[in-house]
Amino acid sequence: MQADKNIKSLFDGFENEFRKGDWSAIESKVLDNNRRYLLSKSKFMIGATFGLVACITLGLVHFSTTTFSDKQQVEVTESNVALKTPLEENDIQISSVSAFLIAEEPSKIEEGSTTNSVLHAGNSSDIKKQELLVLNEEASTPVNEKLNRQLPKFTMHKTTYCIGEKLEFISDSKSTESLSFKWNNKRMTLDEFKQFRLSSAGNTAFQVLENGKIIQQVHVVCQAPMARIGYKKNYDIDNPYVQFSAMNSLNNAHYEWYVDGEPIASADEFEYTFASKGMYSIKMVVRSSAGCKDSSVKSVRILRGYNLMATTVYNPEVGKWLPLGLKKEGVSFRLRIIDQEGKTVFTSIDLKNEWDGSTAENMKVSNGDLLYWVAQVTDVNGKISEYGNSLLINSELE
Amino acid sequence: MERFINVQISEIIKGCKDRDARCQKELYNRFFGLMMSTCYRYCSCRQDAEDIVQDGFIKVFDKIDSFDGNGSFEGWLKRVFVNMALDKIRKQKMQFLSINEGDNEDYLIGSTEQEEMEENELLISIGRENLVKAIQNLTPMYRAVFNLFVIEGYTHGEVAEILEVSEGTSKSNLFKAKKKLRKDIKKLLEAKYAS
Repeated sequence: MQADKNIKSLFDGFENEFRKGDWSAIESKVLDNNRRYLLSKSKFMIGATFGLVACITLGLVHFSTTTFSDKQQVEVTESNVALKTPLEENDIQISSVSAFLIAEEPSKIEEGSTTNSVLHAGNSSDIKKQELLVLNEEASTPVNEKLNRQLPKFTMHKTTYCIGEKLEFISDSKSTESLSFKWNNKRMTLDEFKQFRLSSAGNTAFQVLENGKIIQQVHVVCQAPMARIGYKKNYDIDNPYVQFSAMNSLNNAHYEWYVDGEPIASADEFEYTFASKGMYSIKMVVRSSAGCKDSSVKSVRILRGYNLMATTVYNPEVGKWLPLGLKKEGVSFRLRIIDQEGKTVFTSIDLKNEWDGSTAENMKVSNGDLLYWVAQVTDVNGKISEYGNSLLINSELE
Repeated sequence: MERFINVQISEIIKGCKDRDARCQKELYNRFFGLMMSTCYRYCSCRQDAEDIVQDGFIKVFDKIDSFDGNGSFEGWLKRVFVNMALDKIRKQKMQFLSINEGDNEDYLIGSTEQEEMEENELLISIGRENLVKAIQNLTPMYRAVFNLFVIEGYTHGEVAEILEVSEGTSKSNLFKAKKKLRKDIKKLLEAKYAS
């Protein structure tokens, strides 16, 4: 089609004059993804290197066992056993000391202190490593509470946030540049923290670090109301309506409903009767107690076909056809059935005159034919409404 | 960013594959406008288009390794963004409360030669900006079918597969979309001449 080609050529290589994109809106997310990607890549490299080293070691061990005498092998085993005991004792001492230091001098806590002691333990055995981790966790929990009490250098402006909202804080640290943050084992600079937005509901804890030392732990809550619209149709021919409801009701939440932009209701559900057929937009806005909001829009298409309760498939061999909604005393109508070429094959204005599947030429329609029907209905108030739908001929329908 | 001016797109893509944030920013700046233009046609407002473009770039940076260098990068990029826009429409389609899928009366009329000539003249007179506005006034499904068939050049079979509808529905939606466009454009022109 020439018109289609003209439209296509209008848009070929067309670039609207949009203002420059806001890179900062996605920057933190992109950098976060980059970091995750590079970390997984480096983990793979470390794994591969470790595998290579292990292969070489095994090769050397195999070489030594097949090369040296039996006497030398026994000596090696003995020296391993002798080394194990003193290391175990030493590990416990290191762990206790580091825990003691944390409790006594909170400002000197190095972020890596826990890791250091674990690394020592790693020299001896895995069982010991687990014991040490437990020891350190027990020691550090009350200390953080103590830190929060003693050093209020950093305060969150508020503790409840909405999804996508930037964090607000007040700091009395002399140089905010010395601050960094840790969340989910990931380090963030002050600038990254300022740009950070919570992306899921729930409680989140951040560690605040000054010059690499943990000075505080802060907790924030993220609220994320989800707006989801549910609906239930009522096919009552005299009073057709649709009931809309909030699918996930929240405690103390506030709801607003709009039909085509007009405010309609403020409860978590409402019933609505559409005056005429057409497209409608139903919007629900839900606000949580902290003011976090979400909205959802549902497009509703209202056709009046169902009100006539017409079947969409018909077998002329088993009976006659007329929409059930027309078989009602006091309803005046004009029904037309049209074939694919636009020719009218049947008309009726009487509920007793039902269609038997014959065409205007007194032929019968064939299996698989698709026809259309249009009905003009005048109700008791004189209002004329138009209904229509397709009708498929199926001779296998019982 | 000045030093990126003469850098070939292939270099920028390579940088993006290495997760170089400067290259990612450059790619974003170079293609933001074009991708906004594309997504804008599939959305009813600028805000929706912007949301899709922002999410689309995050996806592009994540999946850029899958671009093997064969074919046009712009074409690959456009496909990613069109798919993002269509995902949104598919979700909306799921939400559609279609009390009756019939109402095929309009489709019966069909498009005549006279209408097509009229359509052609209208399009020439209205201009691109107004046409975009008219496209945005279409329902999400009509808009998607119109964009895919007329502007992207897909066949009805392909459109049907992409939008998970029947071929007949695709044809019917295109017919109705064009009819609505004609009506809106006529109104726009009448208002223009009246003023």
